[in-house]
Amino acid sequence: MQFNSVEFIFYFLPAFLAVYHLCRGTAQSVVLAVGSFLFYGFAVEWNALAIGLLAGCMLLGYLGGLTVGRWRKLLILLPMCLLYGGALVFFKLYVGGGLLPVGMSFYVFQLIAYLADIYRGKISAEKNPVRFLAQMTMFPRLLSGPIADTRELARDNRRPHKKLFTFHLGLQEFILGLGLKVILANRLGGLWAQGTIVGFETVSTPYMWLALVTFCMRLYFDFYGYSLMAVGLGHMLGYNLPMNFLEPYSSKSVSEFYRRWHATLGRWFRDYIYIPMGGSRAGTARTLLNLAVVWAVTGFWHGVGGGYMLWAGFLLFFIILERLWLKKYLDKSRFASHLYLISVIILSWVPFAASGIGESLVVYRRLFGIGGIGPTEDFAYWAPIYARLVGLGLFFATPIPAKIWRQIQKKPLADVALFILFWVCLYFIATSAQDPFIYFDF
Amino acid sequence: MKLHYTALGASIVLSLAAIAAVGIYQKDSVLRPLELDEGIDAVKVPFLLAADDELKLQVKIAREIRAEELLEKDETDSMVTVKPPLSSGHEHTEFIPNTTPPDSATPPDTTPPETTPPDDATPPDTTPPETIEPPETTDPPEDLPAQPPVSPPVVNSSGKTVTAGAGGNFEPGEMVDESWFDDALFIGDSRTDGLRLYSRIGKADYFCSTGLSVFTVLTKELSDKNFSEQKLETLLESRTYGKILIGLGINECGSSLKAFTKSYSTLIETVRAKQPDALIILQSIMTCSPKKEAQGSNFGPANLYTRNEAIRGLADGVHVFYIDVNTVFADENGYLPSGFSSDGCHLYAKYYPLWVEWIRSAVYDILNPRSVSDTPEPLPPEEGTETSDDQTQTEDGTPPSEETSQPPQPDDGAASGGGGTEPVQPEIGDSGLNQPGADREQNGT
Repeated sequence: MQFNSVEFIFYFLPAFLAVYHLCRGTAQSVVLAVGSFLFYGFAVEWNALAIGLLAGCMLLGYLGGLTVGRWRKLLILLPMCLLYGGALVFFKLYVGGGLLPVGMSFYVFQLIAYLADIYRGKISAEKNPVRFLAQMTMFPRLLSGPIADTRELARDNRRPHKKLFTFHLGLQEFILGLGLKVILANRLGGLWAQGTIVGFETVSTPYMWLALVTFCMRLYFDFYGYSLMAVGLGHMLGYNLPMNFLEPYSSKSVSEFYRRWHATLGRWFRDYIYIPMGGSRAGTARTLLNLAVVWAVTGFWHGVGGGYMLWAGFLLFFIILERLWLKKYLDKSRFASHLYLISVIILSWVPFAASGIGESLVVYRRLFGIGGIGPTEDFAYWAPIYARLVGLGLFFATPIPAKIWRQIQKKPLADVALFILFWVCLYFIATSAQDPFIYFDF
Repeated sequence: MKLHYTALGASIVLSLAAIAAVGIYQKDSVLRPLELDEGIDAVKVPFLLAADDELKLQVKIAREIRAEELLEKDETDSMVTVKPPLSSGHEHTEFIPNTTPPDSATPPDTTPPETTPPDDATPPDTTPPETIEPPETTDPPEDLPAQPPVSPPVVNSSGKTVTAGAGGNFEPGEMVDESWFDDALFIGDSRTDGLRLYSRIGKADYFCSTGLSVFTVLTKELSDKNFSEQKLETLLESRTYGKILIGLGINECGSSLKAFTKSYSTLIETVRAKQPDALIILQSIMTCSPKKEAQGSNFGPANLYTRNEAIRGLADGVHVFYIDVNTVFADENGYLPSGFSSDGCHLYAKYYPLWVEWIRSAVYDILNPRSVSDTPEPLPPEEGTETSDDQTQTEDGTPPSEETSQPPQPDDGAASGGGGTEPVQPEIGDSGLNQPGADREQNGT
């Protein structure tokens, strides 16, 4: 069950919210935990392995939290983290593909953060199992984050901030996210898919650029939209979840970009790998090593395969370059640094998007017209079709829409606009030809 | 404390890195990056997915027909009356091919009895329905005519009757010149659309779009280089074509066979009515790879074989011919080899030239029918019509040798000059199909 599915919006969410807001105290946590497991069950189509794994990880996390909280020994923490890490590695590598239980990468990281923070004394272990389950499995962030700050999570869990204005805010965020996802992301994805079908060897250079730009936008709005919906759902439940995307494309260096892009994951790597390893305070060589380790794990976290390693290596190269040398030049010109950032980031998505290193190289060759630019009929054909979407995407990648939004957010006009947006989204959801049922089984 | 964390971090990282290194060499990305959505693979693919209205229409038609079919299911309704493409004045009775042993499919009965070898042709109504016989593989190859190229059906490793082919190996022999297509119109779905973008032939027009099907081809408004957005009928009224090539069927491969055949037949009638002189070439539905079949068994070679037989049944061999691309692209089990396509359905564009060459060569074979028999006999001119009919229908196992129709084989030089500047069958000659671009000056009105 996706946030942008009709089942979620019209059945699950209203029913859940009604029950949730009628309850108080522990009952409310029970509702959240049960609702989250139900949600997960729908999401994995009642796959016993996935549900069992979630339950197992949670049980381990609960008992582990109590144990670590009682003794606070590294000898207890370390095996647990290795167990979680090992399970993640196992499922990514050997079970892989569509069988990796949805959300596992996220909830495992959240659990590791929970245990590590107990060990550090930042939080105390949650003794009430229902409360523990409620905060760890809460459905808004179960499938794909954001990975929350453990202290804030525990605080919200004890006393959800249930006010009408937070609920209203949450509703607004949810609809905005839905719009980004349904109107922009879902429709921008087609051109890249088209290229894989045609075979990138054959497409023309202008087409390749257009496809890459639409891919970048799709990736951004997809995840941004989803994260915004998650934050909005959190607000509706009285939780303050962290924002994942902080206008990343306004950055002026790659390092900055990754503090603003999927920020909660970056923060996790910083807090639980980079800093424990010494961060940047143990000399240049050590810093570089730490960065390399962090990016190797980041690459692996995103997926097994040369493509992700190439992606991570590409970014690591520029991050090190910036740290050692480039930074002082980047600071001099806003325009140049921004141009640099955009070019590097766009090119860095190639191995992320392509399947494997071989295809990445093909894409790079096409991008730079190696072997000829090729007949550009494909570009001429697709560009007009995608022009409006790309224009809209470019606009929404700038900070301008957010500025406008903050201006009008509290006016009735905003709610009218969101109401219309909501129904437009529903139109797109309802008419989307993605539903395999209609397509294959009539 | 710090040391402990270093140990923690390092041990996790080292184990991850080691296994990751193994993973890199093991296989390419088994995961897509985002778990939050359907993943990149599942994004909307403009090529194949029909627009909403088309889907609805298809669903509607399919439901109606299916309801009908369910009612009729138990009756022995393997006989379907298929209206012949306009020209012939009477109705043909034909088999719906999925219930017919492929080797006993009979040409439309426009063929005079004396040209049909009595021993091989089974009269339609004597064939028991619902019998797909496996041993088609045992068809002696010498029974197969040289053209138009149609492979013998085989029973593949899953026990399904399919069209087997050369698995993408194709050495074009003689082909018509590209200029032969100067007055051609291609009608097709996303596959033809890809051809238009990446391997446009000659000065041909293309009426094609993603998701186009026989159910929507007459209602959809499309445009191309030489014409603005309009319906097919309007286009056929405003421009004159010597050749019309149709490549439809994959989008509606889940629809009822009866509805499909009916709509396809209507399409042919419409085209014939507007362009009576045009040569119509029906292309088989190109097969898909196992990956595509995994998305729905309708994409499997057995279903496509059935549908292709239905399309073949619509060819009359006079104005309407059938060519089977699967003879080139299918493998021995009837599948598109997976290296030819990323989605299992659309060829990589780098194979379009091969496809085009194959079309050119198949067209050449239609224009220059060759007999498998060694002794072609000159044909009395007035029997030209029937003869060409035979030629297309010989693939169903009828040895064509007796009535080999040929005007003595045109030789290579002539052929490459556009598929026959020499006289061939009168009927076809009338339609202008031997004059490359001959109708061009009439076009564009």
